[in-house]
Amino acid sequence: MLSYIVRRLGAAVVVLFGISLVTFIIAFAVPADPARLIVGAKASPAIVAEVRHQLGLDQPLPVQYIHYVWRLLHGDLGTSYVYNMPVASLIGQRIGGTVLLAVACWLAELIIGIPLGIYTARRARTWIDYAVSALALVGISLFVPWLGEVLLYLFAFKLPVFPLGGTGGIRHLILPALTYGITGAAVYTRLLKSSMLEVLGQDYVRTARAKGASEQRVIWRHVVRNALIPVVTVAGIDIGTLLSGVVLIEVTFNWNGLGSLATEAISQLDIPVIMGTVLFTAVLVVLFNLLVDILYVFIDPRIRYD
Amino acid sequence: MSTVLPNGSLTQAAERKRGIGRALVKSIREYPMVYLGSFIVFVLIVVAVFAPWLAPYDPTKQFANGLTPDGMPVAPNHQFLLGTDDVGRDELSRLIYGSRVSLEVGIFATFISLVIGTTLGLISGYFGGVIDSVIMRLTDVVLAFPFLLLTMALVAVLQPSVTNVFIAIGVQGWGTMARVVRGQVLAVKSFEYVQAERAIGASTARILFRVILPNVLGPVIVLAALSVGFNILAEAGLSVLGIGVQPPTPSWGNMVSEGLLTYRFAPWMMWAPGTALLIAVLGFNLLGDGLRDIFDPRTTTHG
Amino acid sequence: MAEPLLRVKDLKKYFPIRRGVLQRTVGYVRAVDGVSFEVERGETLGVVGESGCGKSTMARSILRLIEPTAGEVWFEGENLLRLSGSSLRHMRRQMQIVFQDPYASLNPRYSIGYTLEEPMIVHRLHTPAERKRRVRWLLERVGLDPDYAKRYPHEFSGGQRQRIGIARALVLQPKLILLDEPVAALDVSVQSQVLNLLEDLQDEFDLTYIFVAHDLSVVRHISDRILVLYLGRMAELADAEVLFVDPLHPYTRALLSAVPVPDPDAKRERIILRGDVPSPANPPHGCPFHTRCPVAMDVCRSEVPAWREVKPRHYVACHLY
Ligand SMILES: Nc1ncnc2c1ncn2[C@@H]1O[C@H](COP(=O)(O)OP(=O)(O)OP(=O)(O)O)[C@@H](O)[C@H]1O
Ligand code: SF4
Ligand SMILES: [Mg+2]
Repeated sequence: MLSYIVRRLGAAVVVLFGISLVTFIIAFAVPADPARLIVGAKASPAIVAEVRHQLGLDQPLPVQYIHYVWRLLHGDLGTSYVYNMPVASLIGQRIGGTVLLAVACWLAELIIGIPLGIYTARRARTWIDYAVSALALVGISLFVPWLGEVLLYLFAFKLPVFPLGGTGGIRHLILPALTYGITGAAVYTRLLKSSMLEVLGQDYVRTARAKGASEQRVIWRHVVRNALIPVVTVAGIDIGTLLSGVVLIEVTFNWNGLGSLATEAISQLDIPVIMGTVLFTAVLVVLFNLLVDILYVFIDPRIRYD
Repeated sequence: MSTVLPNGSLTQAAERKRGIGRALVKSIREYPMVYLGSFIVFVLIVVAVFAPWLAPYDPTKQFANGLTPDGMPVAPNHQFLLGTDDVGRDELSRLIYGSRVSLEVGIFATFISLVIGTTLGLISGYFGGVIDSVIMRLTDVVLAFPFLLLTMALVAVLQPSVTNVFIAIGVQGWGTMARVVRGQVLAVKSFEYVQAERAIGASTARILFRVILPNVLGPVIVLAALSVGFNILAEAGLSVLGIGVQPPTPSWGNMVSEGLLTYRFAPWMMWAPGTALLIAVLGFNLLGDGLRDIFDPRTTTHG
Repeated sequence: MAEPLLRVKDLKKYFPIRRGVLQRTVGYVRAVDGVSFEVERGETLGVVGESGCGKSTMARSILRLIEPTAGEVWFEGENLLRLSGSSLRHMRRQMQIVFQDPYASLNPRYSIGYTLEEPMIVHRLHTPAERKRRVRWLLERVGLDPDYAKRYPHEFSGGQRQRIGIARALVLQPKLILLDEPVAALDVSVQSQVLNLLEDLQDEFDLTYIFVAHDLSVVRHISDRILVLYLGRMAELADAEVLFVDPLHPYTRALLSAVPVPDPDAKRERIILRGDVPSPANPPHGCPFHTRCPVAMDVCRSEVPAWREVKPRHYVACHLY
């Protein structure tokens, strides 16, 4: 088991290395000249050269890459061209809002998705099952910002129950979370339904029934508990999707977080900030997946480690 | 379920004799999702291809009577069936032309992912060893990036254009395909009939493309259909973030994005593009899910 | 003496067992562990051993369908293990295989006609019309209706499929065919038909066979010589009649005692093998058979018995001799 965990760790390190390489290539190798971007089009060639030197851009790419990784390891994500302040602190300022929103969105997804999954699994092949399946398909086909827009129109404008966007507490969180919940729940509903159907067919469930356990007890003690295992995995692994969704939600609801930071940076071509947020979120995803992989070992007794 | 044997491939072989046409019609009857999905996709393609003939007006034309005297968009009327936008352009025409961007990006990005993912998955699964490890780690890297954020970064440095948008989306979307293809190859590779091919002296290329590839085609087609829907949404998402296809080219994403600013006084600008996106994506998802039922009866949602 | 058609020397196939963080190799499954023999033109060499003793691995290694770990395979004066790419593919025309599982060895997507035509396509032989003609002729030759060419594998029974597998092995007019338990998956009633077919084909096309089986009764009539394998190693090799009348290795004796005797009154001591076959990942020291051998001695636990010709043309690896 230890060996399994160490192997997962090793794989994560390799992936992190790959991520740093990709962001480096995009940030440094692709754009024509970051120095020119910083000093502006009118600066003299000498100044451009000076800035290039300061940034280490006159060195060979592999050397630059090593410096880049070295700085990353020290938590240095670069300096914003626009705010002239460390990208790490900019991210630090905004991360709280994103985490809050992401957690709310994630909970909404589970709160909508899991009960529907349990419910439809117990009524498989009835019209309710088909109706929920159809709705689930519509749910995953919805465009998140559009659904947000519609909810804003209906429940903040026509019926002014909720605020018209902006950062804030529970009242501000409900519509964004609902938006994400509606579009994301389908994944969990489908997953839970199929994994429950699978568990229901298993021997130990039949044994429990044969021993005369009540139907409620069988469903809750045996079936749901085991069926939730894949859901936990997906819930953990899906954090990449969640973060992408949250970016859109932030923009739609005018919420202050990493997504809006990145969008602003893009409109100003503030490359260090763009790449910093991408890198930061990617690392977040990897660490989260690693955590899930390791937790999984403790949750699921069936997993084999070699 | 009578026509589908445990291995979807066998069906085709069995039915070939009786005529592909009849088998197809039969399976479509049995799988209304595929039928409905194909119909939506077909309509979408027709609209995109014949946009110039179907659209009542030039989508970029700003009509003098397209704005009210106080400069507001005009609500739907007999001249502008879906109303006008905030600069007086015809929403219906923009909607019709907007299908082009969605389809182009959705299909081309999927095509790129498909080529990369299938090739890497085939190589990874067939050759195994170090090559396999390297490709699988690469897949992990690609799958680790939050899709939209990386696409955003890529498009930002590449400059937004239809081509760059579908390239940026396409070069990231292959991870899942590579994994699925690899898994399938691993399963097929151990079949004795693959060894039989080697025994008769078939080349590696022949084995890969003639023997193994047909076996992975089913899941790949399913993934491709689902991926088109996903990519259409991704393109629209980029527009909302301000780095999608640039105006004045009409795109559904841009139209939804404009709706964010105007829903309070011109809700029609919000309803049309969002509904169009929903129907289009639903079409591809229906197609993908329906085909999955055919290729892999184990996950079927039918009786 | 003329060069034999096939000469296998010290062939080994070890499958690595990987474990741990870096997937390091922590050991090997010694599926085939030093097998040497020769096959003369026109003869049939029977290869016998229990399930899992490495017969299929040996057959596939000889043909390089899987890469052997070590050894030499000389076919008509060429070492196959040295060949690569196109010269290897060219060599494959000379030696073919019939697989153990008639259900898994035919591509379900290919019609029977295409399955049989493909070897000729791969080697660019004949015109399309001529290829079709040959396919029909071959189907007829293996006892099937030539019109079956248009059909697909799932429409056939195991016996019919194995006939198709045999036809495929014949298409390229090879000199040597490895038959990997060609009848093991078939009903007893069908087994003898297929065996008869194989014998007829051998006469007609001057074929040399390596016939793999897990019990002696199947190879008895068809083989000229029989090689007995145990845990990937050679136990005994002798002419077929000699092996049946005068088996030397205790393992061969045990196998023989399991063969049903035609005359029920004939009394023969029945040797029951104790225990299971040890794992080839962790073979016993000394003689690999000592854990189950009824006559094992002390020396058997420490020293590997040498492979020796104890009587003319009769080889055995056992400390008793
Ligand atoms: N690809 C592989 N990787 C690891 N071990 C293998 C592999 N193929 C075969 N083995 C092992 O090698 C040994 C010999 O297998 P092989 O299939 O050659 O036996 P066999 O004599 O043909 O048996 P059978 O009568 O069941 O066909 C077995 O222990 C098997 O588990
Ligand atoms: S060497 Fe010893 S253990 Fe092995 S077969 Fe001969 S007598 Fe038995
Ligand atoms: Mg075998």
